Amino acid sequence: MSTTVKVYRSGTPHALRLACFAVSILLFCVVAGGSFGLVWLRQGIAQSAQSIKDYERDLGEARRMQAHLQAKIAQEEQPEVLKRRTSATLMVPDGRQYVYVAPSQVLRTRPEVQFRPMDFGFEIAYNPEASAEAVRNAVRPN
Amino acid sequence: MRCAIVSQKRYVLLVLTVSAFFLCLTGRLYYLHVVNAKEALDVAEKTRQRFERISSRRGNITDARGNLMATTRTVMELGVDPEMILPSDLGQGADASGKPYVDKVPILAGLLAMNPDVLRPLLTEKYREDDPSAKVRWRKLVEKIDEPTYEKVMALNIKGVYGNRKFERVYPGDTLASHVLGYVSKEGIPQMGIEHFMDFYLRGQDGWRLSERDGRRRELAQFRSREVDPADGLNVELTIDMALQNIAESELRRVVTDFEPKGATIIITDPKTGFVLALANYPTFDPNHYWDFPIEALKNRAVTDVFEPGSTFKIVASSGAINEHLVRPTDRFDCGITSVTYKGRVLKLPAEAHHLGVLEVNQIVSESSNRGAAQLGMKLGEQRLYNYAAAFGFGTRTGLGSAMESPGTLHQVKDWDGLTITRLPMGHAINATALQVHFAMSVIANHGVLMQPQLIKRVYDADGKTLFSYDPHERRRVITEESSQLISKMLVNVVDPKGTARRAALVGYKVAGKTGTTQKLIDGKYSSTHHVASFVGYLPAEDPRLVISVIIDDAQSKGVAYGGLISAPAFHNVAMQSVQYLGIQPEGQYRNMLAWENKIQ
Repeated sequence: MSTTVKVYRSGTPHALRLACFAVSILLFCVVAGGSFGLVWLRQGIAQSAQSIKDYERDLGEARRMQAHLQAKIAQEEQPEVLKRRTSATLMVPDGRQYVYVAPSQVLRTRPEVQFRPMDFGFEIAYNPEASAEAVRNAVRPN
Repeated sequence: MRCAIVSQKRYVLLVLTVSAFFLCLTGRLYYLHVVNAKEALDVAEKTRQRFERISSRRGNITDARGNLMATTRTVMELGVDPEMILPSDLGQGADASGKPYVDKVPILAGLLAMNPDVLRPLLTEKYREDDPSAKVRWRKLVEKIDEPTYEKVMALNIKGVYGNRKFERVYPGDTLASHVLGYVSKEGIPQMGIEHFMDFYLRGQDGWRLSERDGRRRELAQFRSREVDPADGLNVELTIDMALQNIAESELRRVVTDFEPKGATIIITDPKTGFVLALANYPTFDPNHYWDFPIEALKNRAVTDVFEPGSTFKIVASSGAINEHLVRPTDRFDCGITSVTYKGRVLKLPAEAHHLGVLEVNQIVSESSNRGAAQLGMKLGEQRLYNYAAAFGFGTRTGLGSAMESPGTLHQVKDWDGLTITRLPMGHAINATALQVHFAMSVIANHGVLMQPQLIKRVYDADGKTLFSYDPHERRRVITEESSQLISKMLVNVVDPKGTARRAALVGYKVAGKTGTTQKLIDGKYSSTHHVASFVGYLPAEDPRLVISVIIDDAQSKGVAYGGLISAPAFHNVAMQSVQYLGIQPEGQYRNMLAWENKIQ
């Protein structure tokens, strides 16, 4: 009794050829997929790096503008500038405001203003609410 | 079938040519990859690699209340690459719809405040003037423009016009405290003042970044391999108060307008801490444009220039004599005599401005008697007089931090001539800076203790965290507290209606101080027309909060420019505004005085 082995012309068994083909396809897929994956990863890294760079640039821009603004504000807050501005908008002191005046000046320039010694210190000017009662009690305008 | 017939010779020749070509190519590849590999790799690396220096930002300088006095901002140096300018940018041609392009040159010229006719050739001329064969790839248009203007320029979208960012130091107050702050030169080198002294903390540390670039020289951020972040400079907080500084400088401007002096200095300090609250000089300069000012205006004459202190120095002789219990305030001296015998020699006493006769010690101070001071000096003797002068800070640098600070001149006793013992007590035969004279007076105001002058309060980082704090520092006790109180009473008399400095008086406040009027040495002789007028005082006398010095060099006035005439009124003005600003309460009857109008209910 003889056994017949089915062979192709090349002499390679069919299953082996199929396996080789499958492995080749797999290898190709792995290589191609890996390559594409690598490219995709690198693109991702590049995009991330670029966006980080953009954020850094924006942050730098914001800091620069902040420094610019700070310098501008500082220029506007200089005593000379403030004096120029306030001189045009100074207001007459109102009734709730306490001021020191030299006696000579009161008599010379503002006869309607009277003054007399008080039994409490100048600190009241800084706390008008708390001392309002004390002022009313202590001071009786003529 | 037709066959191409190629001769054998031609075939061989073709094969040989092709082979030779490939051989050359292989040889070249071998040379590049094997023989010359290292150099080639280096060239490739250099072409690809990008080393970027990241500049750190210089720290701020603020006053004692946190107001910015010096800061750093970025500006753009704007330029053009004429090669990249497109005709459409110049308004030449039209777009696809036939609409002519807008000429952007006049708009750009408007933003840069330039004449369009001047700007146009700068944008279009592609070759250098001095070498017509060389192309221009960068031509500077403007030295600096600020960020908002640069944004407007960029919005024009002219491809060849772009800027390089650079840091610029800005002093928002212009001339305010310029001598204290100093300046940073265009090259970024700090030249004087706090900028120079605190440069180590202010300058920060630059960072760097190593990455790669593409063919258009743009950075490939993903190839950043090494990166060191820049560390911005630390901030410095000064003891200077911007408002007081402004008061001092405003008064200085008035003095300059009225008297046209050669120079002037006003110093305000806190006697208890030695903190300098204001230091103003004339002539002054704007550190934003320091190059526009003469060198003479750049120096901080409060510490660089010396002068004979004159009568302000009399506090040294009188303090020494009181402190050593050699005299009492009521002891009397004949100030009418012209000579005196000292250690067996007859010494001629200095002249007086007017006849004074017999004076008590406190009158010697209040009426500023030269002969009285000389006799007090002789009571002390050479060595003790020298020791007290040195203890008050004369002859040594105050240590304020200026590299150009002068120590002044206080000669050793062995170098004195026979008359020095009579001249030194009245402030001659000695040179001192304005700051030395000021701090000598601060000794009396601070109950006999000499403080270290300080301009810097602290160094802090961007988060406001204090890294270094400079606390008040006592240098030495010069005289006892009791002696300082006695001298202080004498100095109050100076500002009395009969004293030499009555113009320095301030209603509601007890002021103590001393005037000085020194003849200037011109061509080796004391001039009768050129003087240094000074007044150094403090207030309130019982519990001093401020020491103020006004020193005016060569004021143009009718007659002698006396300290009491020229400097004392300036002291008065500065003191009056300063007490209002600081809320220093008046004393006595004025303390509890309140004014109101009838209508106030």
